[in-house]
Amino acid sequence: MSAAPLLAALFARALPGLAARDLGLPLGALLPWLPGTRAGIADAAALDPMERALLARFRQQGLPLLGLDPVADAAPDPAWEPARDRLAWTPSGAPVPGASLTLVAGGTGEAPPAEGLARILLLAGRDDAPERHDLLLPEPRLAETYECLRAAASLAGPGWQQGGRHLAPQQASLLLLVPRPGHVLDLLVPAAVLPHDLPAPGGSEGLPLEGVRQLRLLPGALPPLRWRLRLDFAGAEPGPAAVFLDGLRIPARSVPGGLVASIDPPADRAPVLGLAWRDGAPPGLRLVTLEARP
Amino acid sequence: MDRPPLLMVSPLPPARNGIADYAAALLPGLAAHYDCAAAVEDWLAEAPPGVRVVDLALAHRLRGDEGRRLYQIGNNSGHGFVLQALRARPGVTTLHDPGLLHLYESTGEDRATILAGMRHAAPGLTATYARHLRGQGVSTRANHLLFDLAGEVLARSRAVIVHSRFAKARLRLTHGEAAIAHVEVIPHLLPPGRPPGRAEARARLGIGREEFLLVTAGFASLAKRLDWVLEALEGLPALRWVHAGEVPAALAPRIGRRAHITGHLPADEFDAHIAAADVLVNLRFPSSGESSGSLARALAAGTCCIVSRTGAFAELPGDAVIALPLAGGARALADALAALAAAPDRAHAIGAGGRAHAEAEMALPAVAARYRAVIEAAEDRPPGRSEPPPLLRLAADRALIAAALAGRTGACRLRLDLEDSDRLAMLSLAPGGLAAALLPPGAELRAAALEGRGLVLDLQLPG
Repeated sequence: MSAAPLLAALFARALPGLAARDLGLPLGALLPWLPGTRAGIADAAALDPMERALLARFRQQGLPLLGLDPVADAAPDPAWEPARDRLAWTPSGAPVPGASLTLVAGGTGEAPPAEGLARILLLAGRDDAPERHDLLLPEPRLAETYECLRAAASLAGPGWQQGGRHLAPQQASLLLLVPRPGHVLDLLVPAAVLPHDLPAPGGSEGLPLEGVRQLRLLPGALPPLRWRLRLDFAGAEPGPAAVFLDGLRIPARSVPGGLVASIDPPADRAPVLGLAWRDGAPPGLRLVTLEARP
Repeated sequence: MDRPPLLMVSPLPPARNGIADYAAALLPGLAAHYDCAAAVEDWLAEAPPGVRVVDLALAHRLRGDEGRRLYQIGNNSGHGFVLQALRARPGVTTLHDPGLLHLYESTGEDRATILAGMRHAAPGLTATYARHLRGQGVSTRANHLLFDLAGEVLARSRAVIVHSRFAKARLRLTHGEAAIAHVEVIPHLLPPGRPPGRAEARARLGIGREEFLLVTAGFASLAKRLDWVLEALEGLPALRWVHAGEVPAALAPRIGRRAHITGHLPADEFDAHIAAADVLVNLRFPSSGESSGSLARALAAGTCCIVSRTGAFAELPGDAVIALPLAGGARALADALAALAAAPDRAHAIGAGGRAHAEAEMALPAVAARYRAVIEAAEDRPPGRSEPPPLLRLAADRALIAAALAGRTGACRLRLDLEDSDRLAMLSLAPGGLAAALLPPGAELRAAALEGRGLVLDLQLPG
């Protein structure tokens, strides 16, 4: 889990214009760190029925989460199809159809990649708990992509370990480790790009909340630390709103234009954030951003 | 000692729902035996201290949720989410009203499911009433008395708790001995806290010490027979009548000419009205075996209660309440009220008898211990007998189908209207074919057949 923010930063820097899909829900490790990533489930049928019913409540920019609705999944996606680099994060070991780059969480094992495919072994995260993730890509793109990633790895800070090598025509490796206690980036996400269960999708102005009594948001997984969460609003003060983490109310306080709470997210899944107002959210209220600092 | 987790799925205060109050009163007793959480639809619902409130959609993420579940189901739309949760995972269910037709109707259950339930409840009667419902959309009060839709709850629950032998007997008559083998009777519950004394309550409400006060309470459904109370009081102009609760708009002008109607009251105000009363009149006709929170409060307060000798009320001891026959109800009520007004000490004696009965049978620790016995005995028991799979009639629309199937598990039948055969043909060309285009993930299509102008799909749903 400590690797996802690093890998997100690495890919964003290495491959400008990248379009991303995180098919790792209910974990959603990549989702918060690459804003605009479309969220989904690699194998919805394998989920606990209640978890599947929960995820089916969410819409992301008006669309169901990937993997839950074959018709919606098959519809044209203007953010995905035209992109040169289409990255899919998945816990299953096979290349994701339609993706030019498949990032397999936890790696693909020791067997060589299938014919025509190449693999970059990514060892990333905290130096006392490195994680392996494998990037599967067409063999002809290995050298170029590897060089882009190596160059981007110069984002490393003091004390970081970085390295890598081209192991074979089909295989390379890249190492990016940070010393304990780890380097965790601040998170700042526009609310409208996150999966939520409001009827209206929202836009650049944020999520319209006027009159809303209850709202669920799926920000994706955060490394298991204590986070200071700030929800920023516009159009009105949020008033007496209650904040929930995975369905349970947590203490929160109002600050000008926002709400602040401390959260301890679970390690193994994306938490669901909730907001509730007894008499509905105030007129004109919009949720603009979600910010989290470790 | 570690208490095992227990998730209660129920409305809770501030919902204006007697079962919400019951659940809130029961939870502290159960918390002596279990680490309790309450799963709700309204996230700002109020549970007693020490009981976590969790959004039902996320309750499965609580540690230990794979264990014991207790559902509180009544016959109104506030319990739709409880029924959905029971469909998703079996548990022990408290069935506060064996009817449930109103619950099914008011939560948008498919008409085919309702008709199937009606057919199961009273096969000989269904043809006529089903024709009315199908042809003209007519569902009268008779439907609610004749047709009991508790079959699904009985089938899906590991055990079912009712509050009276009458309710159990009614279930037996409709569903048979085998279907109710897991039904237990646990009496209703005394409300929490000590009710105010009569003098204190009267001072608070501005009612004179010598005034004879008659109270009726709760939402004034037709079955509470306020019309009989009105008739009985025609010859007793000196009696003061307060209705502590809401009255439907159609009934309010008539009742309001004789009674003071308070509208919905917070719990402490409600208790004060009941404690201040010389007599609580709590009639029922017809009764479907429902229990009464108002009656429990009056028994706790030592207020004399007049009830109808029917349903669960007929099981109360003769020295705890005055039970009136159903025949000639208004006349009998007038006689009883006149007698009590002439001899208030008799009302006090009956009130004391009622309190003694309630404290022996309905006290929270005793009720919670009986709940625990039922929950633990049911722990390894599979849900009751299987029902024929429900038939859902829908348009061929993925969103509608997903909503209708949400929370369901096991076998299910879908009948899709073929009015729009072009759309069905188009969907059949989607990746994965018609099933992938219309059904949620995990739903397995076992068989398909054309029936008239419909396409019937036999499904197996996960879970």
